[in-house]
Amino acid sequence: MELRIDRVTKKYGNKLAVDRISTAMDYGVYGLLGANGAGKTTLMRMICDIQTPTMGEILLEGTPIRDMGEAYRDLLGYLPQNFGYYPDFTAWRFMLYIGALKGLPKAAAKEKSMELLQEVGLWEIRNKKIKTFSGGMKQRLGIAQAMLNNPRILVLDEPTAGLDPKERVRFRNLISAMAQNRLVLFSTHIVSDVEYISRKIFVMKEGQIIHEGSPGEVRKAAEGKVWECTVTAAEADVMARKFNVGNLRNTEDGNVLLRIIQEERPTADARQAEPVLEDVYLYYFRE
Amino acid sequence: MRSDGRERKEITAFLSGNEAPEPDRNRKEADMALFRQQLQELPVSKDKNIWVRLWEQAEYVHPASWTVQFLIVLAGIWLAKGFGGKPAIMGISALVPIFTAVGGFEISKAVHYGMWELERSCKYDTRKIAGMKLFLFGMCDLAALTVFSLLIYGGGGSFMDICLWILVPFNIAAGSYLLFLERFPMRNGNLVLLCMGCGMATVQVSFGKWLETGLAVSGMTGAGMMLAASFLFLACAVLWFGRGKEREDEILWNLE
Amino acid sequence: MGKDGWSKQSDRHLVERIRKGERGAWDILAERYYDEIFRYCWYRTGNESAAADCTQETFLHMIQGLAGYADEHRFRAWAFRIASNVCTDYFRRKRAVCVGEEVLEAQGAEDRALGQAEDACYVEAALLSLTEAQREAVILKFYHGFKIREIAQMLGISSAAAKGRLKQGMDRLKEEMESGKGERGN
Repeated sequence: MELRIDRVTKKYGNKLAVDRISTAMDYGVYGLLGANGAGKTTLMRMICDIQTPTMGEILLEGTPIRDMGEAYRDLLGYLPQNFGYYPDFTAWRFMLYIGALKGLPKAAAKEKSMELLQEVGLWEIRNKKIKTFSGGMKQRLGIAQAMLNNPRILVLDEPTAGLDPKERVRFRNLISAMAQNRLVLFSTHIVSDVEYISRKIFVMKEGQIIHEGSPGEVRKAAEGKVWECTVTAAEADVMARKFNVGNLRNTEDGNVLLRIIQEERPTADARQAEPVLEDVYLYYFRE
Repeated sequence: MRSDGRERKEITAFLSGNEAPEPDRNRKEADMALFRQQLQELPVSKDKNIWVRLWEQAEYVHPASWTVQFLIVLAGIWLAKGFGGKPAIMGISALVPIFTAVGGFEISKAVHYGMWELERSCKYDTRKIAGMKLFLFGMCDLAALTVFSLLIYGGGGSFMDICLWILVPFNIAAGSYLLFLERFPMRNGNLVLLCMGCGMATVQVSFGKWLETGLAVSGMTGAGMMLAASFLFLACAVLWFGRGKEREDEILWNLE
Repeated sequence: MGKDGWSKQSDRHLVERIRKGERGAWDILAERYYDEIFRYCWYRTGNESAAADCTQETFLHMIQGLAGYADEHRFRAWAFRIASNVCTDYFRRKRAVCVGEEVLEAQGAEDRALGQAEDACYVEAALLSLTEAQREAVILKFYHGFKIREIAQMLGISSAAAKGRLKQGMDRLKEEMESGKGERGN
């Protein structure tokens, strides 16, 4: 299955939210990495046929998704970054409502809702109102509704935002499991989310994809640009202001180990380090 | 032409020397089984007819909406039975924009509660859902207007009273709400709609007498023009709402 | 409706039934086109195993794309278009080369009479002397009977371009045939 994005651009007045993006995706997990305002949400909305591109096309198996209409959205599952819910809705009623909107017959909606709520661990509290749920529970409900119609394409916008580390790991495992025979595209600004489970990563900045490839290939973008040096605590403050410091760690002898991301060696005694994905992110998104 | 045909025949004969083999039977059977399995995993949605979809929408309307509308109709009945004559007509007329606002709440619900993005990505998207809700509440409005009209007629009111005090306020209220919802979808839209409804009701009650005086002077012509204008206004508002698609992107962006 | 009734149904009706959830209609459709798609993939790739893989991939793409299949296209043409793309992608991943006896062995030609094998290889070599674009047009026209207009639609080119490719392919084949007659005569 091929989802092709062909020179897609989205303009709002003078603002260019997405700038001539072209790429193709198949089965597997794809991570969209970028800071807030990079255009990730706009791109995802266009993929979900919620917004139309100003220019360019999105095609599924060669057919423009605009022409497919309902038939395309039938294959889609979407979890928006901030999704609302009607105040009287319990988790169960919410699932059935979305099931109805997705065209599921009532019996199928009930069966699938039960299965999914059990899978995400919300079955016991299915009759509680969503407004009583924590952030993590809402996200889990969000992912459950996205799976109702057994989608071929799953689009998740910042699914791990606001989750604690344990829930984030749980979510990553859930996404990995769902990628069997599916195209899963999820956006995040948390590097560890994409590093372990993505087949391919798109790094997005100012509406453009500035880098794409497997996690290993993307990591290479920061090769030769990551330095480590040990300095005193006082110097560390100065250097943090002067350089793009990715990480700083206190050593046992009271000094500070700095990890700096930039092209030139920052100090004479700085040594090169193996880049990790976070370094790439900091390199591209430094102020 | 003839040489073309002969040429093709020669080439066909030549190419037939390289006939493709038949596919391996075992592989074919294995593939067929795989295809059946893949088909099982395809989406399970079915095409539903409009009446099923409408019923589904009605199922998920908040019971409070139905209750409020019912209570407003009861209030109308109480006014008609309790007062009669012109006070009853004015009172019922004031209820019309408030009754109509309830439908407006439901139509704007998706934006108000932040569900629009999710709904828009579903098979039956917000535009279709809004259209269905419009139809659903349109039917409810029609039923209520019929009840109000019968109450007025039963209380000695004329056909002109029904037109001026029921139809015109309804057309103006409904048209205004649709224009407002299309132009300014916002998260606290319900409150604004309620204020608009109460405002219109207040205007009707406060300026009702002046309107009556004006109509007494202009007669049937004036009344007819007012009715026609109100219908035109509503028709334009419905068209504007329906064609809101072009402006949707800008609106959605502004909601960020 | 029993499957006998379905077997006479048009492709479009079968697709409609599949979309409505009558998965049994798929078996009829798949059966209808599997062998033909396999043969096409074989002509394109020159290799039985590659042809089988490409055929499988084609049908899997078709299942995914059923929702978007627009009724105005002929189903057969649509299926072949997908097969064409799959085979093109195959060539991107691997080079398929006809090298005379090696290819014959790969095709399991040991059981064939030697004369027949020689002819087949000769035709194969003639086809391989065409460019990929010309070969595709010739295969679709001569082995599968598609019209120029259909070929153009499937390959996403104009009818004039399709006609041009076919003409070039035919001219090239004629040259091969002429030189072949000469050689074989010797």
